[in-house]
Amino acid sequence: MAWLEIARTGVTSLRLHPWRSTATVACVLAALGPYLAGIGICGGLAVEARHSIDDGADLYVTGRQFGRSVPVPLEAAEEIAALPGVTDAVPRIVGKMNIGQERHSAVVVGLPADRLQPMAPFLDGRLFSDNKANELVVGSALASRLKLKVGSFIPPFYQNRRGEHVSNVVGIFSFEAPLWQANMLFVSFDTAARLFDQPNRATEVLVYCRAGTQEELARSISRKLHWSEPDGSRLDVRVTGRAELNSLWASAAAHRDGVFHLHWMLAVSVAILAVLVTSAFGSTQRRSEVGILKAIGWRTDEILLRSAVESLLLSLTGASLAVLLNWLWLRGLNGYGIARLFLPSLGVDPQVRVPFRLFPVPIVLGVLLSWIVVTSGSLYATWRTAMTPPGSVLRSSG
Amino acid sequence: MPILEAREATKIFSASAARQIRAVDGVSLTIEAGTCWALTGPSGSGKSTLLSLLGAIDRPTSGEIYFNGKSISHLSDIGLAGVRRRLGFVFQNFALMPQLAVWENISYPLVPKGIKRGQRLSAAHEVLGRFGLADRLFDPAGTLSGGEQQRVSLARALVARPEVVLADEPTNQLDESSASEVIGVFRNLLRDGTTLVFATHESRLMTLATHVAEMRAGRLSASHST
Repeated sequence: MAWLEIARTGVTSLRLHPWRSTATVACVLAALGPYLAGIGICGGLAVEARHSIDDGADLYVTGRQFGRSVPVPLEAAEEIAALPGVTDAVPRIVGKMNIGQERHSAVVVGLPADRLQPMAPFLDGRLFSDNKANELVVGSALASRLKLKVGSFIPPFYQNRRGEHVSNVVGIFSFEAPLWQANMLFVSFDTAARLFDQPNRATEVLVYCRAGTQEELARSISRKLHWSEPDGSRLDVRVTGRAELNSLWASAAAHRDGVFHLHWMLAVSVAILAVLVTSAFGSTQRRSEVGILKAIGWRTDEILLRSAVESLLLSLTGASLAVLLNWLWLRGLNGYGIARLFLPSLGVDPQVRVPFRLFPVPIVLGVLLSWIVVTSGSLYATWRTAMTPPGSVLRSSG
Repeated sequence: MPILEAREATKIFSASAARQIRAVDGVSLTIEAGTCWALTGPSGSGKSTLLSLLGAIDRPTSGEIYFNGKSISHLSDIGLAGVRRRLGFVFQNFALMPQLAVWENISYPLVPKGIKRGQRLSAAHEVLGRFGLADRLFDPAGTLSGGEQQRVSLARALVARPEVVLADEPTNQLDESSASEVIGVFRNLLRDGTTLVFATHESRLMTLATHVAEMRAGRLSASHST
């Protein structure tokens, strides 16, 4: 078990170079910290997106013109509801508008209040009433930016052919609500229709159907539904299912992950250089140690084992600290300052719970790559020194 | 059979591209087991370099060094490590790791032998006790005085019970009483059959020597039994 005793001296050697050890751990932290934060936020977003898609409608029906999605006539919801297998068909309006003196961009969602009922536990105040015009529920981040509270009025919220309208904030989503609502305004379908001045249209119809009928129903809707526009042109429908939404999300997530990985590779390259520089600072002392060990009978492979254990411990320490600090930063401080690097819409101090999920694979990958970074800074130099006769090494290192 | 032997051993250092220094120049020496050799001579005469060659710390530029009848001049890294484990070497500059505790410095030769921590600590305690430093076991080596560090270096050379102890000026930085302790330890080693080779100017240490070899300008100018 000599190797075990040699490996233990790797722990001791950390004490020999406290500054080098600290600098190396700092390099690992700098390289691994942002990567884990990015991957953790990506993981959190993926989980929320999956839940959102799973909890959402079975099919999303929009119009289709010039290969793009366009609104559908409101009667589409009734026609779809009449199809066999459909349990519910709900029209929804989703549109963008700028509000406030600073013209903050917001997404307005108009839908029946009961569709927001599952979100009620995350609500301060109450849901809007379908019967009362101009009541709205605001996402937490948007409410913070616009300094809105329950009971606030937004004068004028919008302007249409019927004049200006003052709206009343009746509810604000809490900090703990899912991220997707953070920058949204929720209103009744009728209010949204008035807001965008499109009384007889919905941007999409949410279709709920019996289990196993989804694909057949999608084909049926595509085949049967089409309308004639006032100018005589034909309006076809586009049907999007859960599988397509999942694949769209996966594609966007892969792109985002790819950008993170690319940035991290750059960070790792810089970290390797930094570790090499820190190694150079203590190289004379290190050479002397290797010379002493060789002189008292250590073999090159034993010295390399000691150095590899030291590198492993440094990378494990750096990686563990990176995981811990990320967890504290993203859970305890809710990603203050760092979350905006990955989710720019959240601002410096996110007013919504930042989604964060760290899976074991990126952690293990991070530890492994950290070890490569740290090892590359020391193992080669140690090997070169260990292959030199100890007399030469001790003479050159004083 | 001699335990250590140098045959026409030469060590050349390159001071610059144009200038070479023959630190050891064609030295032949035969050291029988259980004897005590004192290498004497002025500074720069090649005593330390010859000790390094005999202790497998350096390779000769030409010539051969034999240990127990086998040439070690061309041994592999593993082979040389095996030889070094059977020798104890005391460096003139002590060659300690100053941040490590005294006992850790002393016990490092035992680590590759797989000896556990507790046994290493006991061994370090035992050998350091011979030099009157048992109470400094857990102090960082860098906090010790020069004389104390020299004794720690000696303890490290002895901890693995080597067949040959090679020491470069082992009493150089010691006061009268510490030097007496070291000489006493060496005397005991000799009594136990350990071979001793040291470079020294210390007259009291010379009294232990069974053979004296005098060096000048890298050459062996005289060699005699006492």
